[in-house]
Amino acid sequence: MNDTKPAIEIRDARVSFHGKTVLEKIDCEFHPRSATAVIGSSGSGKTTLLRTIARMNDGMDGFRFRGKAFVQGSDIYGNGTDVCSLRRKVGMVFQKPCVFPKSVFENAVFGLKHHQPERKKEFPELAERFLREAFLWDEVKDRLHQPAAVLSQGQQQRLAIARALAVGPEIFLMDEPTASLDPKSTQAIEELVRSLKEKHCVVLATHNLGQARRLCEEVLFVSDGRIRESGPAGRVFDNPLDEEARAYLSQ
Amino acid sequence: MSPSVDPQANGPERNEGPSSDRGPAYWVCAFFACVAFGAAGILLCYLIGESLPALRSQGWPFLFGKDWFAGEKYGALPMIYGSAMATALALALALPFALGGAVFVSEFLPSRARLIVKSIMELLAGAPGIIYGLLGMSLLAPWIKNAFGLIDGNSLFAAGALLGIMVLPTVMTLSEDALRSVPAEYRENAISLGLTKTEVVFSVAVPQALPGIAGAVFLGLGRAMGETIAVLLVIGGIDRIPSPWYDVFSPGQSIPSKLGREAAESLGYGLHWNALMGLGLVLLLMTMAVAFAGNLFLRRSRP
Repeated sequence: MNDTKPAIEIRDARVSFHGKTVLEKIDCEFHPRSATAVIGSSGSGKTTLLRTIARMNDGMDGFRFRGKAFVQGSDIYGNGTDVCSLRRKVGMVFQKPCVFPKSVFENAVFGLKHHQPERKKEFPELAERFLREAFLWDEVKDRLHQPAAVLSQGQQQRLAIARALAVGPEIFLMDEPTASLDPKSTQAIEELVRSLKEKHCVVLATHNLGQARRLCEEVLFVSDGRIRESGPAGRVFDNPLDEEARAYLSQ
Repeated sequence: MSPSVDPQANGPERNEGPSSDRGPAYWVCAFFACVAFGAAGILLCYLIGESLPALRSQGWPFLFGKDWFAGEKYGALPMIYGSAMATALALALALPFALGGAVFVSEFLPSRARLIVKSIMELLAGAPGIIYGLLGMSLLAPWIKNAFGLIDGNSLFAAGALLGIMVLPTVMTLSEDALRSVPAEYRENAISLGLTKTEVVFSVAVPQALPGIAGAVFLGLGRAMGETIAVLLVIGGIDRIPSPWYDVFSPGQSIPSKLGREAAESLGYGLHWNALMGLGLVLLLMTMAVAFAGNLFLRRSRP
């Protein structure tokens, strides 16, 4: 199931803001064509871990990273890293669905317009392709040029995923993508994650343990900025070794 | 207004909307609001009433006439032209700096430096016109005279440049506010798609902030149009449209500077006074139109 070469590898990493440690002693790896759940209580560092992989913390005041982080073998915090091309490889989906105040079509091709403006003539086909991949096409094909804001929250989240897919990422970091959605939309997103992990490396931060169990092969339990437990989902859920993980999973 | 808590009064018969809350506070506030509206209304009516004799005696040439000789002819066009030209120059000169500055402060400066720049800009935005006027007289006009080889630096260009400097902090700080009010999640999402910082600014932040920026520009315009003393000191004070009309290095006259110069000597009566009041009416209508447009844009920029 797992390819031998990890898509993401983090070694002895420490993340701090203004000297205050948020993550430490982080050692983990994530594999292509598989989904890994990052679980843990609020404030444990799940979001920071995901943002660190996409270098989304760079613009934040006082951010400091120590250690090593590799995406497809490249040291992403090393000198000479092209952060923009890294972010094109590492798509991110946020907790709150966010569509730009533009049409559905404009949202779908937003990244393409910047990265591949020369393919402008192909945009309609590409938009259809990525909206289909995000299981949204059938619901929006008749209103592509309507404002994206009129879509439901679940549809907006899938549009955000289609928009990220269009940029061509190989890794998907999903930060509680269903936290603000109703059960039906959650089911649609879960379906989408199942299809995404066939081609991509998916890292899914979630509070929904059932979701983690349903979707992910690997699990990482984070508490107080440290990875307390990691391993195959079945083993971690059924027989957690760490005391804290056991307490969390038994809730 | 929140309805008063009355457990006996939950029935639909008590849901009369705001009218059910008409206590003493309502009437006191209503009185003050009426005084404010009344004052504005009286001002407008008085201006119209006082300028009517001049408008009647001069007819359309009051607006389109090029000559203004007290006691003979009253043509307001040179002053209208002067106001419009000085304001347009101010806008053309201030806009690139104000918008560039707003983008830089909002998007690229660290938060502490941003706060310092913002407080300085807000301080400058509130500085009185006479201070700018004195600086314009002593620094700007002589500099323009030397730089462009003019006989006199006091000109429409000097007035426009000075007004540009005056409105720059207002336009910059309000535009910066508009940029800052663009939700951070838009930026985050755009960054996560691999856009560069510059691309994020110009394809997400600026288009979103555009109505607010336009509002800021209109409010700056309003201030520029009404500024009296600073313009009076550097515009040259000659009631004519230069030839060619775009020769902005000629002296000119704006409506406020004309009023500032002549209001005291017209002694408050006669056709000269009526004509000056007519000028005031034209200026009021111009600034009202600009303020209205500015508010419209600002309102549209708020979600």
